[in-house]
Formats: sequence, C-alpha cells, structure tokens
Amino acid sequence: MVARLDVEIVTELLEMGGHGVYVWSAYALSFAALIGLGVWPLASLRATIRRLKRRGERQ
Amino acid sequence: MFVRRQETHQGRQGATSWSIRAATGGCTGTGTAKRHGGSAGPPGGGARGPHAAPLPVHKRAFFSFLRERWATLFDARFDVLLYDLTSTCFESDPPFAGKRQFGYSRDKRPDCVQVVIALVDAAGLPAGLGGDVRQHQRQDAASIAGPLLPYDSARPMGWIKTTFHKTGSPRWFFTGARPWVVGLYVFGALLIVVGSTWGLGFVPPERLQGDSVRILFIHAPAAHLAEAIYVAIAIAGFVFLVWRMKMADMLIQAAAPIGFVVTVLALATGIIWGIPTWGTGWVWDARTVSTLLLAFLFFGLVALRQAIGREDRASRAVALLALVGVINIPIIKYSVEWFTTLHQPPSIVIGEKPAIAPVFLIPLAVNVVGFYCFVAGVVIAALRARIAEREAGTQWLRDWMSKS
Repeated sequence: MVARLDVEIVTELLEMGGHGVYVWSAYALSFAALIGLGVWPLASLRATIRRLKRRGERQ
Repeated sequence: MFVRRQETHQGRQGATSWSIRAATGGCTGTGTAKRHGGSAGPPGGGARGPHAAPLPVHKRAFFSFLRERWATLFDARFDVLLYDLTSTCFESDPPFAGKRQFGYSRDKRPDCVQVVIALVDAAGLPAGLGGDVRQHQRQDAASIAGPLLPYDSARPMGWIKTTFHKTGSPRWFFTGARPWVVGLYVFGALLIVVGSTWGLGFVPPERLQGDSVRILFIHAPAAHLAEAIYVAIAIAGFVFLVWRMKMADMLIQAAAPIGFVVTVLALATGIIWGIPTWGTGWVWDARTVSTLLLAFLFFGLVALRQAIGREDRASRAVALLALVGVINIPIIKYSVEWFTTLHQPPSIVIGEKPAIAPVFLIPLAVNVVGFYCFVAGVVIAALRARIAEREAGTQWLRDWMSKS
C-alpha cells in the first residue's frame, strides 16, 4: 500500500499533468548551466596556477 | 628642473637611468646616466649607482651635481634654485601596510600602491618648498601648500575611498576574496536547492497554466540576473573609462561570458515555457528580442576584446561598448509595458501588491536570492582567475603560489 502510494507520487511528480517534459528539461538545463558556471572559473584558475608553477620550475 | 629615475625591465637586466631635464626658460638639456657604462652619472655613483643607497645619504652629492650641471650647461647664475621632483615608479614588494599606500594618482592609477619620496633635511622636514608630502592622498598642488600647513593636518582617507582603492588592487582582491567565493557558492546553492525543491514539489499547479508554472522559479531569476550582470558590467565600463581602473576592466572580462550563459539560460527556459503556455517556443516580441540582443551584447563584449589585438585599446573599446549597450536594459524592462506583447507584464512591482499568489512568491524569492548569490560567487571566482592570468610574473603571485 505504502509502496504503491510512493510510486504514484513519483509518477505524478514526473508527469506533472503532461507538462513534466517541459518543467524537468528546464530545470535540468538550469542546473547543468549553473554547475558548469560554478566549475569553470575554479578550473581555469587551477590551470593558470599549474601553468605558472611549471614555468617557474623551468626557470 | 626635473630629476627622473626610470626603471625598465628588459629581460633580467634592469637598466636604471637618471634623466635630468631642464624645463625652464625654453632650454632643453638632457643628461642620461645608465647604470652600466654611463659616463655622465651623478657623483657617488660607483659600480652600483647612487640609487642603491637611500636618497638622503646622497642628498648633498645630488644637489651639488645638479647645481653644477645646471650652471655649466646654461651658464646660469642664481642665488636660489627651485627644483621639482616628478613621480617615480618602483617594482618592489615590501609589507602591505606602512609606507606603501593607496592614494591620489596623477597617472590615474588608483589601483597601484604608492611610495612618496621627498628630499628631507636632517630634522626630517621636507627640503625646498615644504608642506606635507608624506600624505598619499594629496595632489601636488595640495602637498606644496607651503610651510604654513601643519604636519598632521592632512585628513586620512575616508573608508569609502579606502575601500575603492583597495578593491582596485588586484592583489588585495585576489588574496582576500577566496572565503567569499566559498561562502557565496555554498549559500547560493543551498537556496537554489531549497527554492527549486519547493517550487517543484510543494506548490500547487496554477489554475490556467497547470504545472508548467514551475518554470517561473528558474526563468524569472535567470532573466533578472542577466540584466543585473549587464548593469554591473556597464558600471565597470564607466569606472574604467573615467579612472582607468584595471580591476574594472578585468571585471568586464570575467563577467561577460557568465552573463552570456545566464542570458541564454533565460531565453532557453523561456522557449521551453512558451511551448505549453503560448503554443509556440519563439515569438518575435519586444521582450524576447531585447533579451536576445542582451545575449548578443555579452557575446560582443567577449568577441570585441579578442578581435582587437592591443590590450589597452581592446579594454577601452569593450568598456565603451559596455556603457553604450546599457540602453538595452530599460528597453528590456519596459518592453512589456510599452509594447503589446505576448510576454506577460511584471507580476511584482515595488510599491504595489504583487499580482502573484504568495504560495508562488516564496520559492521565487528564495531562488532569486539563490541565483544572485551563487552567480556573484562565480563572478568573483572568475575575476580571481583573470587576475592570476594578468598578474602572472608578479612577485606577490609567486609568493601566494608558494604558500598555497
């Protein structure tokens, strides 16, 4: 009984009365964009510092 | 008469030259002494040059050399010789506090710390015209106000000015901003997770739109944020054009690609939302077109910089484009009021009762704050990355890297 109810809730949440595709794709896109934005400058700084350190060692 | 020391760094061999220039009576005479093999060097030169020791030690020698040179070059006779000292640039890295301070810069470089040098007599009082030359915030006109000016009368800089100058310092920003990045990332992400979960799972479907209303909770924050990023960039463009502040230029460079991504996100979520509610993904209405233009502007800021090879010219052109492009912001804002469009007018107007039910308002507000905080963290992180690239080779960055 409890298990069936859970499945129903999840299905309802996914389908959203037929609008699920739009809602979920919009959220997935947003989260992908935000995570990408968050990672990009950190990775870029790390790469720059690694490059500078290597250049410093060579000298 | 000017005494100017110029340091040029060509490779590892720094050449120091003293140039002495007559600037009165239409006479022009230039004597230059190179550190290596110069013949017209000031007395007390030796192998290391007079600049190796503190200036006051050689004060008398300098005076007699300059006086002598002036007299012989122009056959001048005088009882009193007035002289003027111009700005001197140092490349060194002593501790941050103390004699190095931010201050008035005739060269419009408030982002650089300065060291004020002056000839002083044995008692430590400024030689020549007098006045307080120790204070960094003073213009020349103020610093030679005369001996009437008591020593400590100069007011210290207010905190607003100090903050402005400090923010203009790449080093100060780079070393101090890391906790802000971490804090804003964590706080922003937390709010976005809470707001999105709320919006997806705990808000009833809207009467007309059904469940697609949930897209509002990411579409509206992204759209507002895109505009806010552009306004920030335009302000930075203004600051750069007026004060030539290097950090403002770097901010534009760091924020433009971020603004582009956020604008594209706003457009994309709008298209996705349009399909079930408007029956079409894209309409050429005033709001969508002006937002598309915003995306092009962000892209243009990135592309323009890369198209112009010389860095200083690129910076100026980009700052100008940023400033001019700000006209698009009121167009976006009022597009839904001035023109008949498919896009709805704003639901929340400051000073009026919101045309949106409180149940929708809470997750929206949480996500707006979350988006702003998170992306503010991203901009600061990107600015740090830019600083590391542009300040590569400076001593302070090397020190920071060896410590971290």
